[in-house]
This record gives sequence, C-alpha cells and structure tokens, in this order.
Amino acid sequence: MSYPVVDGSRTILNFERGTESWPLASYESRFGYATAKAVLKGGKYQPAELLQEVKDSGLRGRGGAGFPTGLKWSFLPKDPEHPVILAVNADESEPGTFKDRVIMEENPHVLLEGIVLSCYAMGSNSAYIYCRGEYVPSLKRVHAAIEEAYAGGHLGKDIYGSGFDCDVTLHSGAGAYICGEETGLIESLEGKKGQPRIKPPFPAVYGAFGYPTIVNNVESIAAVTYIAAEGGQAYRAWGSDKSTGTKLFSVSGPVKRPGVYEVPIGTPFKTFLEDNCGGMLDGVGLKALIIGGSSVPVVTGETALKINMDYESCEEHGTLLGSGGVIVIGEGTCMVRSLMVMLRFYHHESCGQCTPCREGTGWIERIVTRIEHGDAEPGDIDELYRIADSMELRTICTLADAAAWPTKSFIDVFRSEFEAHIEKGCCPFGGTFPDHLNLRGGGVPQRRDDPEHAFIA
Amino acid sequence: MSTLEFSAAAKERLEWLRTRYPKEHQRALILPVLSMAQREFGWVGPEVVHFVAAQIPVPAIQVEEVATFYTMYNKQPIGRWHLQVCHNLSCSLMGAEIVLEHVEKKLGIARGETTEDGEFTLIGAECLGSCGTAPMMQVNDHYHENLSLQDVDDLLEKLRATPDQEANPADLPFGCGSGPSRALPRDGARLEAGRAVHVPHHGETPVTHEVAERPKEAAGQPVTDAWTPQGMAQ
Repeated sequence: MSYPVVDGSRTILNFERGTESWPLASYESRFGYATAKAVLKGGKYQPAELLQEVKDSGLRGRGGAGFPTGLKWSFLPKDPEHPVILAVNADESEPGTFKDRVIMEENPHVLLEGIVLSCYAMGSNSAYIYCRGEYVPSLKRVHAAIEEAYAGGHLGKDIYGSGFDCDVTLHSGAGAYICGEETGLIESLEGKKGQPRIKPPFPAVYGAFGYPTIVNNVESIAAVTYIAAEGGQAYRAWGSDKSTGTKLFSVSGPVKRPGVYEVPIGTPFKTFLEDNCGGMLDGVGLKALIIGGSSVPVVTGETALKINMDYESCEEHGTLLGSGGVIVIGEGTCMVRSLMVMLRFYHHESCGQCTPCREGTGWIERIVTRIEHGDAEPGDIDELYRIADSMELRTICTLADAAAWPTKSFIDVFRSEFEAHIEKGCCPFGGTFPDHLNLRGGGVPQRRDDPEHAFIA
Repeated sequence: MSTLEFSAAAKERLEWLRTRYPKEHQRALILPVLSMAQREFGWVGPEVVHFVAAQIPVPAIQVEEVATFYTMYNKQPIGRWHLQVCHNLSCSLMGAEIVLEHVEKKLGIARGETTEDGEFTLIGAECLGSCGTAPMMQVNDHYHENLSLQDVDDLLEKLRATPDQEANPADLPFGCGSGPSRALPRDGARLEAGRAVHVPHHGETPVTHEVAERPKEAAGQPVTDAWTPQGMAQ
C-alpha cells in the first residue's frame, strides 16, 4: 500500500467527504502512521535526509508568508544548548481563511504524524499546537486525536521502540489575531500579551522560553507527511518550479459551492471558480477578488480570471497568494464599505505596540468610514495614501502593512467609487451590502450547503 | 481570603498542565488557567485574576495584563448566552449585517448590550473562520452556520428553553467558555464587587482588603470593554 491521493491532488484531505475521517482507525486505514513507522523504526531517513527531502520538495510556508519550510528548519543551531521546540501555528484568524480548521476537524492525525516527522527532522522532542480559542470543535478533535495517538504509541516516549521521543501539547489561545504572527505566538505561548518581538534574534535561535523554536503553519506540517511518504520529488509533480505541491484554498463569498478545496498549486482561478466552486451564484457577476486572505491587495474580476493560483502568477498580477483565503466579491458590492469592514478589523486587532500601526489603523478606519457615510472631507483620498505610506515598513510586525496594502489597492483599483462617494455625499450603493442570499425575502432564496463537493467543517 | 476554589477536575488538570511547560517557565500556564477559571467562575473579575495568579503562582499583574489583552476573557458578567455574529468581510458579503440588525430588533438591544433578563449578550465579532458557511453566529462554544433569519428565530427560542447546565459545559478541558457557568446563578448574585485580594509572591498568606466599590453591573447595561487596550469594534 502506498500513500493514498484522492482526485489526483488531495494529499491532506485524502478521504471521502462526509465520512468519519477523524478517528485513529480511519486514519490508519489511509496509510496512517505508516510513514512515521518507516522513518523512525524502519530507518527510511536519517533526520538530515528527511530535512533534505523537505527542502527538495520546495514546500513553502502555507500560513501566508510563503517562506521555504526546509530552509527555515536549517536555521536551527547545530548543537543547541536548549531543547528545540516546534510550535504549530493553528491560530488561523486571517479573514477569509478557514482551511486549517478543516484539517484539524476532519483529519487531525495527518497533522500529528507531520509533527512527529518534522520533530524528527529538526531534532525536537517537544511540540505545541497553538490553536485559536474560538475553534472549540478543532480543539476537541485535536485533543481527542492526541489522546488516541498517545494510547496507540504514536506519540510519547520511545515511539515504536526507536528511542525517539515526541510530546505534543495542545495550547488554546484566547482571541487575538496578532498571535498568528510567529513571535506574537511565541510571546502568547509563554503566557504574555501577544505582542510581536523585534527580529533578530529569529525564533530558530531564540524562540519560546528562549529555546530554539520553529513556528510552522498547520497545513505546512500536514504536507510534510506526504513528502516523507513519497519524497520531495513526488511533491514537485504538482505546480511549477517555484510554487510546488498542492494547496488548500478556502473560498467564501457569493459562489455556489464555498468551502475548502485542495488543488494543485497554480490552478487557473477561472477553472477553479467554475469547476470546483460551481461558479457565481445565479445572477451575480464577479466584481473583484481577494485571493490570499484580507491582507493581500484586491484585484478586479477581470484580472482575477487571468490569475493562476501560485506565488508567481499572483505577484505578476499585483497581489499575493497569502494564506489561500479566497474572498469572492460580487457585482453590486460597495468597495468602500468592504474596505471599511476590513479596516475595523485591523484597528481592533492592532496590538498597540508600535505607534504607526496603533494610530494609523484607527485613522484610516475613521477616514474610510466617513467616506462611506458621505461625510468625507476634501483631500481624504490623498490623506489615506499618505497615512498608509507612513505605516508601511515602520513597525515590528507586518500587521500595519496588512492594513496599508489593501487600503492602497482598494483605492488604486476602485478609485472612481471612492470619488463617487465623496462627490455625491452618500454611498451610491445605499450604505449596505447586497442581499445575495435573499435573507430579507422577496426573491428566490439561495442555499449553499453542498457537502458533495467542498469540505465544510 | 478568596472564597474561590477550582473543581476537582480543574485541579487535576492544573497539575497536569504544570508538567507540560518547562519548570522555569510556569508563566506559560496563565492562558490555560485563566481559560479554565472563566469556565468555572463565569467571568474574569479582579478576584479571579488574583486567584489565578496564586494558583500558578505568578504576580497578579502578569495575569491582569493577559486578561485585558485577549478578547475572549470577559471582564464583566455577560448574559447566559453570548451571541457573537461575525461581521467581517466574508460574512458581511453574505448578509451578516442583516442578521445582526435582525437580532438587535428581536431582542431589543444594540450590539455590545445584554438583555434585561440576563439571557443574551450580543456582539459583532471579527472573523471566526466560518467564512464559507456565512452568515454565522457563535453561541457560547457552538458555531451556528448558514443562517437564515428563520434559523435565527428558531435558535433564539431554543436557547431560552435550554437548561443552564447545557449553556456552558464545565468539563471541556480547553477553550475559554463564553457564558456564566453553573457556578454562578443568573439572578445577579455573581462575584461580589468591591472586594480585592492582594496576593503577595511566593506563598505568603494572601491579605484581603476593602477597596472602593465598583459600580454594580446591572443586567441590560452595555458590556463596555473599557478595560482592554484595544477596545471593542463598536
């Protein structure tokens, strides 16, 4: 038996939708822990060899920044004075992103096996899964999976008699977007406010508790399981030279089948929208697209249809792949109002540490809010650019940039809408979002639950 | 003296937690123990902060700064059901604002407020990771997704009829819990306001002293978030 891949590209979500995929028995029937056994007990790879496979695979961090995973691991000191820690980033809070939740709820053991293998490769015996506190169903499933894995001898001391120890602790956050930033996560894990640290020193040298620490996204670690099973070259069978493997995309907005899809990286968005997502809801046109979670620049619907969903193509079209949180925006949506909603979030979530971010997110939120409400002052658009420019690259972490980039891109791409608000002194869209689902009635209600296609936790 | 005490299950979990973090870094227990305390005692007031500090033990200020930084710790008592309607972009595109307005009208409260009978606290929440199943509402530990207005009406009715012990199960070993637990009755006889406990470091006997009484949080008053550095979105 070899590692099962479903539909040609489902390596992490490699099970039938709607089945009880999360218990250990079900996972074991899908080649579960066979790779960990082959590596730890069978001597398939020495740690350095496994690290090389991860490097060869071209896997890039799936949390949003896209930093090569193997390269990150190689920054660990060779003879560390303290134990090495793996911190799995399950603080999924980027608006539009809900893929890690599906992994943790539907296939938690693929994450745990990935943790054992990653720990082996990086010389760690201790991992923490930092999961956001709101994700109670994920916490429940992962908690149960950890207990099953300990009971089944897949975690703990001397796994499979190999002499290798691996302890996993589930750590729940308590509601703070900033804890998804790797040093914010580390501070929070230590029991502090999640305020990001100045780098260097980088976590690989001085991380949680001052120990060498690697912070990786849930999806990245889950992908290691496949890479260790089939090899780095096999992972490269999908995607291009710089963007390799498969990627989970979480789709929201007025499409027929929103949900999570694992597809080869580089799939054309047009095909993806039509084949996987079932196209737009009836009668709704594609106005704009945010492809990688709300922090990446927005593009028009026209540009969106030219994008292949990989790192290079996104950059070529002026945006970023980010976390793969695909937010589809339909015709009739006010872009000023959309930006206002996003900025309210960044203002709320700024940790308050750096002045340009703490003050800047509030200023741009207030200006966009007054434009939307028809109370704009002359020069407000220029003022937005000016403030956004003075937020960028002037703070410890990238939250300020994550608020500034969408602001600038929304104005760049939809400037006429901002100007129309200012000229008319009111929102031309009536100061509301369109009622795509017909919640208020009066038309044909559209329901979208469709477990046959997408993964919806 | 603090009258608070953890349940047997919580005490056992606390001892287990101590073994999961390096001995010299027990400050890491603050988040999990605060979460546990909120689940046991309903909300995180000054007395709970000092209680948690004494359990670990760490200086109370370290617990206080965590309790005020993270949004899931309730610094005021809240209704039996904590209704959190996500109103970030993905949900707004699919009608979250309509749902929020509907709940406000139905319950006669604005976001940030609690109904007079102490049943419901309503807030507009930021992204809860339920974007593909919008609009949605988190109620205590549970996500309710793909909502129609009829679903919302049915849900509110069902919640009113649900007994207390199901509102906020105390036996979950993680997560903050969102509503008052079984430990605190709904009639307002919650933690005494106005009593603070000074917890000295390293095992000295805690000293209780009276401080000026804080205004009683009457049901129906807005749940302000004045304690947090970030402030609520509203």
